[in-house]
Parts: sequence; structure tokens; C-alpha cells
Amino acid sequence: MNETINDLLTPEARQRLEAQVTRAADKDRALRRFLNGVPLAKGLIRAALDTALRRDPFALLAEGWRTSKDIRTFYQGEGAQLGEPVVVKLAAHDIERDLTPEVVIDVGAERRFPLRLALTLCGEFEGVELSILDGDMIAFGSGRCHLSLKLRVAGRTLESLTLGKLTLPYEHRLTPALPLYS
Amino acid sequence: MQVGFRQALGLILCMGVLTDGSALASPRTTVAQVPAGKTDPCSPPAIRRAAAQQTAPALTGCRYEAVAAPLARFFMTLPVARKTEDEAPIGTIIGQNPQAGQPLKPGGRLVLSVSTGRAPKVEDGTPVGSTAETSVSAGSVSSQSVPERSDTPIPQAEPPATPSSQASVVSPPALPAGKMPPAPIENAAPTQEMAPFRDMPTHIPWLWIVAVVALVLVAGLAVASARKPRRIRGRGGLAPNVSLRLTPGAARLKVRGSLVSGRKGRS
Repeated sequence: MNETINDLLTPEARQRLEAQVTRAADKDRALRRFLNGVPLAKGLIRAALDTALRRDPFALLAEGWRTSKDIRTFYQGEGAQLGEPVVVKLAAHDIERDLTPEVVIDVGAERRFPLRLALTLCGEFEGVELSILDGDMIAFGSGRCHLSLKLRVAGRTLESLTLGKLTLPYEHRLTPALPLYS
Repeated sequence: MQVGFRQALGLILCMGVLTDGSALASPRTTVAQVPAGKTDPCSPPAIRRAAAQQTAPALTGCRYEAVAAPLARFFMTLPVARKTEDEAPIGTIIGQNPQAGQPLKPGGRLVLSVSTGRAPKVEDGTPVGSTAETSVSAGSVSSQSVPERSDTPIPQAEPPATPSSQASVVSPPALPAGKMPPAPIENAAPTQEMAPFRDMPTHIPWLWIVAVVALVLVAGLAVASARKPRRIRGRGGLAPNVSLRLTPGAARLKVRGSLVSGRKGRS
């Protein structure tokens, strides 16, 4: 269950995503002029996109749990001792997290070209249990999750790429552990 | 602008006359001192007088060798060789443009038609003067292009009018082949340097030449810049490191009711 966003993308969805990112990169005049002087620029963008999507989607979505006021209140109410894990059963919920892509070109000095494109990672969770140890979320599991990736430009959704409907294992370790927001 | 240049050139030539030891303080003074109507039209005072009056001197019938030096002081002479069928001897000026008496500023262009003489017939039909004509057409028309011929009578057309002009009116001695008339003054040097260009067309479109050269240069630069290999900036041509960074924003959690549905307890 250590799949990344890149692994969950279907070839068709990846192609559509690459097309959108390349189009957004072409709209930046300075970036376009720079990439025109670099051979295999499109290949570079594609490779950079593959590298950027090699991230654990659940680690990104766990930020929603980490900042949840309900979970923090519940954990504090438990009054757990040090080294004593607490398991919380969560209701059905959705978590969205925006990912702002920017092309970074390092030619001795780093230059950034933010793209006018927003990736939104969406997760619809159902029946998920969360394990908390010493104020840190260490694992989750036992439920179902529907992951999707939305492409947005100026607040308008262009594409909605389904990453998959996953049945979570009993325990999915979060490495590193995410401390609850206090 | 060209007129201004000509006026400046004329002024410089006049200044050269003034600096000459034989000339007086001003050309008008010179004209006043030379009695009108008594000078030979081929003599230097007559040419100087015409230059002071800004008119073309009367040179038809004069020997080109005799008037070349004084003409070079005041005008830019452009001799053109002409073959004549009449009895005009070789080296005689048979026409001029502008005509005598017409306005011509000092430093102006004076086109002279110089006779190449009548080629005598020989037994085989080849004219003797063809060599002279060939040299005339190929090079400049001057004393060396119009060689002296012993059989051609040289007219002594200029009787000395005044004692002052007597020395200069006498036609100069026949120069050996390959020698130019003596340089009159320093100001006339550009005229003699232009000798190889005398056969060129009188009107040279310098503006067009400069425009074409500039156009060629601009086109060359454009082609060179277009063909210039695009170098990758930075690090001496190494490929830059291009990466895509996904900056995560804040997470939005949507839940109906309370997020914690139940307590699983401690494990």
C-alpha cells in the first residue's frame, strides 16, 4: 500500500495530465523562451511531473486529519499516557488538498515559474480508523477511500482524474508520523 | 548638402589661390587687374577670371595639356576622349559642358571633350591611332593618353596677351609618355587622384550604394543570429536541472456532523 500518485494514475489520465501541465507551461512566456533553448524540453517537463507525483497521497491528505479540531479534542479528552496509542474511528468525510505546481529551473541560480494550474487531490474516506501515539498520527486503515485528482484553472475544474477506489489495509503507517495540530 | 559641399570645396580652392604667391588678396582684385578682352581664353588668368565670375571658361580649341593645370586649381575637370573626323589635332579640346559663359561654381564639374586626332590610314587598313584610342578608352584621358605625334601639327593658338600671363600661356613642353602635367597646388591633388575614375559615370549613386551595403550587412547579421546555435544558459552549456515542484496548500476537510464517529479505544 505504498503507492504514489504516479502509480495510481492510469496511462490515459497521465497523458491528459501531462498535456495540461505542458499547456500551462507554454502559457508562461519566459518559461517558454527558456525551454525552447533546451533540447527535449517537453521530456524534461514530463520527467519532472513524474518525479513530482511520486508522493504518498495519504500523507498529503492526512494534513486534514492533523488539523482537525475534532480529532484533537477527542485525543485530549482521552488523556492517554505516554506510549499508549489511541485509535479513533472517523465518520465518512472528504479531504481536499491543493497542490500548486511550479517549474523550477536550476542553472546555478534557481528560478521558479509558477504555473497557472492547480492540482487538487481529493479523498473520500469511509470507515477509517486513525491511530495516535503521543500526539502523533502514526497509522490509519480499515476503510475505503476514493482518490481523485482534479485539474483547476482559475477556480474552474478542467479535468477530474480518478486515481482509484481503494480498500485500505488494516494499518497504513504514516512515515514520518504527523503530529496533531495544537 | 551636396551643394554646400561644393561651395565649401570652391571656397577651399579659392583659399588655395589666395595663398599662392602670385595671386592677390582676392579674386576680384585679380580680375580687376587683368584687362578684360585682352587675355587669351586658354591662359590661366582667363580661367581664373572665369572662376572668379563663377562661369565656365571658354576652352574650345585650347590644348588640354596647357589648361589642365590651371583648370585643376578651380574646377573638377572630367576629360572625355573623342575621335573627330575634322582637322582638330590631337589633344585639342573640341567641346565642353557647361558651355563657355554658363554658370559654374568653383570646384564644379567641367566635362571636356578632347580630340584624339584623326587616325591616319596605313596600307593594311589598321589605323595607327587605335592604340591611342584603346589606351584612352581603358584609362584616363590626360597627356599620357594623348601622346604627342610629330606629324600632328600643334597649334600655337595662344599668343601672349599680357606680360604677366606670357610665361604661363606658353604651352608646356611635351611631356614624356607616362607623365602627368605638373600638379598645380595641393588643393588640386584630389582631382588628380580621381584620374583613374574619370571614365566612370559622372553620377555615382552613393546613397544607393550605401543603402545596399547597409541592407546586406543587416541581412547578414540577421542570418547569423538566426543560425547562431542556441546555447543553454548557465554552467557553461550544461543542461539545466528542470523540476516540477508541487507546493501543497491547506487541506480542506468536509464532514457531515462530527468527524469522530466512535471511540475505538486504546490498543
